[in-house]
Amino acid sequence: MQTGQQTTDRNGGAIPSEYLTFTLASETYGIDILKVQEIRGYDSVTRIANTPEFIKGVINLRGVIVPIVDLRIKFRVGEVSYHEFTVVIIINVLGKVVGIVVDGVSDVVALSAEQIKPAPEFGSALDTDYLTGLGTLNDEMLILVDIEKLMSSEEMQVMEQAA
Amino acid sequence: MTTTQAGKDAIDLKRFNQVFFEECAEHLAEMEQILISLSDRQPDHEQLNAIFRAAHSIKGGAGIFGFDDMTIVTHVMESLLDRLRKDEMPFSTAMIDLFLEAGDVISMQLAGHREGTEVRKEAIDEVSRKLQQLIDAGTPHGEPCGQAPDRHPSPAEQVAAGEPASPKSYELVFTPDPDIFRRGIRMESIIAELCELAEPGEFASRALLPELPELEDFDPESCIIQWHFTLTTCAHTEQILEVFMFVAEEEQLAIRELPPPGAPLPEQPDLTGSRGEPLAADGGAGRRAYDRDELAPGAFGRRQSETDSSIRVNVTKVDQLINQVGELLITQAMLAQIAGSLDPILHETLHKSVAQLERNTRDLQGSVMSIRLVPISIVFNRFPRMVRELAAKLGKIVQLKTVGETTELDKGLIEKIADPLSHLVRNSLDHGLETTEVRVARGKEATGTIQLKASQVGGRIIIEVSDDGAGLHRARILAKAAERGIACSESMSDEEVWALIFAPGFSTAEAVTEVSGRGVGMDVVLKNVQSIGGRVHIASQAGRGACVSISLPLTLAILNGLSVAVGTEKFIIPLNSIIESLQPKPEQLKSVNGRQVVQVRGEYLPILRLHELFNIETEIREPTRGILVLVDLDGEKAALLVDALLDEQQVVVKSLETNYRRVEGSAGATILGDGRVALILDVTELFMMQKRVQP
Amino acid sequence: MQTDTTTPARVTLYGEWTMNEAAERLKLLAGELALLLEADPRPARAGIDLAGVASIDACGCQLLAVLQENLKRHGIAPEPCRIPPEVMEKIRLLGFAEAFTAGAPEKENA
Repeated sequence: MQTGQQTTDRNGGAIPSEYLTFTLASETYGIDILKVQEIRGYDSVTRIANTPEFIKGVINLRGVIVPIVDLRIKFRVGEVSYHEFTVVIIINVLGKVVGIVVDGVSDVVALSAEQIKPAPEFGSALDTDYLTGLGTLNDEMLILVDIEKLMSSEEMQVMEQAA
Repeated sequence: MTTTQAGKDAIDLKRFNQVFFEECAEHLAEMEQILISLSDRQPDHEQLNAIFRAAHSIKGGAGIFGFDDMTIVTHVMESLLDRLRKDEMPFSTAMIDLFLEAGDVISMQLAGHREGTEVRKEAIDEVSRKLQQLIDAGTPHGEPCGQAPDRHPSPAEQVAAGEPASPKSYELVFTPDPDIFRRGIRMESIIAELCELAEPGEFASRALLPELPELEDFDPESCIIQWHFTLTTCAHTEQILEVFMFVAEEEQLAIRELPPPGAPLPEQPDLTGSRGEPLAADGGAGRRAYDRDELAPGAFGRRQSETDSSIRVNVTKVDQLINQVGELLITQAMLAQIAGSLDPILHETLHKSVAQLERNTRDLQGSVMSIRLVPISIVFNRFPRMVRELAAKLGKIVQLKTVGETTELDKGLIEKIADPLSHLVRNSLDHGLETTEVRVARGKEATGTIQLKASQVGGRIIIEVSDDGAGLHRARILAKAAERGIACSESMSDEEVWALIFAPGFSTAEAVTEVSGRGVGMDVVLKNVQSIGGRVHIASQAGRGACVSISLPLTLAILNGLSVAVGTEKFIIPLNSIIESLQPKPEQLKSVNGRQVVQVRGEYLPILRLHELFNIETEIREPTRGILVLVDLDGEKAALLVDALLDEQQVVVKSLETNYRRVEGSAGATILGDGRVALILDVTELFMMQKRVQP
Repeated sequence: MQTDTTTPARVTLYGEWTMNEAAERLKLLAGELALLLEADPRPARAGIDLAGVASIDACGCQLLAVLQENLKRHGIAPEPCRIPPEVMEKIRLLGFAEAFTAGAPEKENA
């Protein structure tokens, strides 16, 4: 299915070539488009008690219960508000469907291997373990996130960890 | 369904013989059950006849379907049994084990045909030889009884089998109702089922658009497709049409037989027989599956012998039905919500109709859910054999009792409970029950007893595995826990000590025996049980025995609940745990050990504040300003404080764990009429949560 | 869903294509169709990219079949492409194989 050039990321996995870009405060991120199921607005979230602040709760996605995570709160970036333009990206990773709240969604971009560089170890909002690299497109820096690794990590508390 | 051609062949063959395989398995199970229940006693005539009939049926079926290898063993068995039941030969206890062995061999042959697993010829030959030996030894004239079993079923038998001998080609045109999508019908399942009926590689489906609407004018939820299927199959037209049983009306299906490829295409009569005309092709009354007398011999391709009042239904059909009913419930709830906001006087007839709809839906739901209910005897029946063999291996004398085998539970739960129960029984056998010498030395009966009991209590199914063995050894458990670094202390109550055995990696057996296995501990049992919404409880008395009880929800899919409001959130409380609700007066509220309780008819019930347990902001913090819902948790009672009661409703239980994880205090979630999610409360867990907060 | 402007006439589909989303998807498709019809010059072909389709049912297949026929009626040849294997399997099972393999290569570069 993948048609672009592929190299491997630091973990030896294939790097996807098309990314959905979104913004968290002033930074632009990209995630593998094939993991994106759909994009929605933010509404009717049912809170779950005793969960960390960044887990907003669950929604009803056409009969299926899906948890919603606010990355802005989790990574403490920018101001957090919810209005009619708030976007939730519904992603499908490891057989689970999860929604992530972001500030805004932009285009789908294709990146070639030359346009992607490994992420330096400096502290960014996200641990570099979750980054597949930094992309450059039209002078803009794109922080490419391994969304599957991130969402399945223990700190996100969304998925049961293997015993 | 991405299967290779070989895989597809295996699937098609399986479907073709599916009825035989299932019936054969049932006959084998029946045989085994009778043999085990004999327990070395002589069978009476009825039992002998039953075993004979079972073997005879298997032989007959195997012959019809061409499984000649199976006819050989069953034939010898049948000969021996025939002599026994006619009193031409004396019975000997060795025969019980031999018949069990024969049953195993036939099972092996069955599995070989069904799944392609290995079949050991030596075992077959061995058993046949032994059976034959017994026959020769007991037959006064020593006549050989090796008559060849019937190889070719007579035409009468064949017609009764209800299957034509060779495959035919059909074209089926399906013009569905435009509502078919809205009704939640999944065409993929239906087409997949049709595909399975067909010979490998002989199935094609085409979707046609007889009319082409303009995109802007098009109603996408309406179905405008007409499907054309061509398939070559040995199945009857009734079986083919049966696939559409819940989905299509008579007029929407048109089936006709196609001539073999190469022959010219003459005008074929329509075989739908919608006016009840006999079908020329199969020589039997040709009515559609769903308007035909399903008790008639030969209906649905069953064999003539079966004239009882049950029919075999594919599980996917039942699941489809349940899905549809689930969707119906949600839709009905939405409708009720909208109707509820309309003036009841102006819209009186609407309200009445909506209420009627609710009653109808409730009835339908009850009926549909009961289709999936099966008696737990299906699981219990595995154990007599296992106990018998394990006891022999361990050198213990054990009897197994079962109580409440007719208790029904959801088919899905049955499959999941089998392994945990198996493990518990093995544990009892291995660790619980003492050896005969020890038992006698302790003044107990030499025969140990293991009891499997199932019952329904207050909306849950309780399954107990108990034994009269040595019980749990408190000191040993504590020692082992300490050794494994599991937190424990001498001051723990017995219950807390028993709960330690659920910790991962725990095992008190000095030798990890082959019987109970290494590492597959009680923690796995607990996890498996919890994954189906169940709870495990252990009771034990040193020297007297132990009892592990598992409590399961009656069904996973649909629940009667009461919706309540706490702040801006809504929760569902399962109706079967509710006793009553009330708004307490100040004088009913008391304090015991610093905990607030409410006094109701002489009892004092602890108050659980939902807004505290779930961290919700609400104005109602005092019971006198809210409502207390009194609940019963397997005997203990408590009072839940909520803001207000909303509605009694049936809810479809949706899993939280599919995409998220277990939420403490809840047993799943549901989607309300307004589309929002509401948690379904697990009252027992809430109680435990409260105990932790306020010890 | 968006029309990728860097390559000529492509309609890119994402997400679920079942009965539940049908009404929404129709609106989007109608919009896409309108854009294609307004384009000057009108494209002779339109790629329909299904790489992002998560799941599809008979209703979704029907909708896409209607879209393709509408395109053809207006002289635009639809070219479905990048169909994920599980989705194609569904499409085949549901009887739409012809509609979705009409002349299009399995993969196309973005």
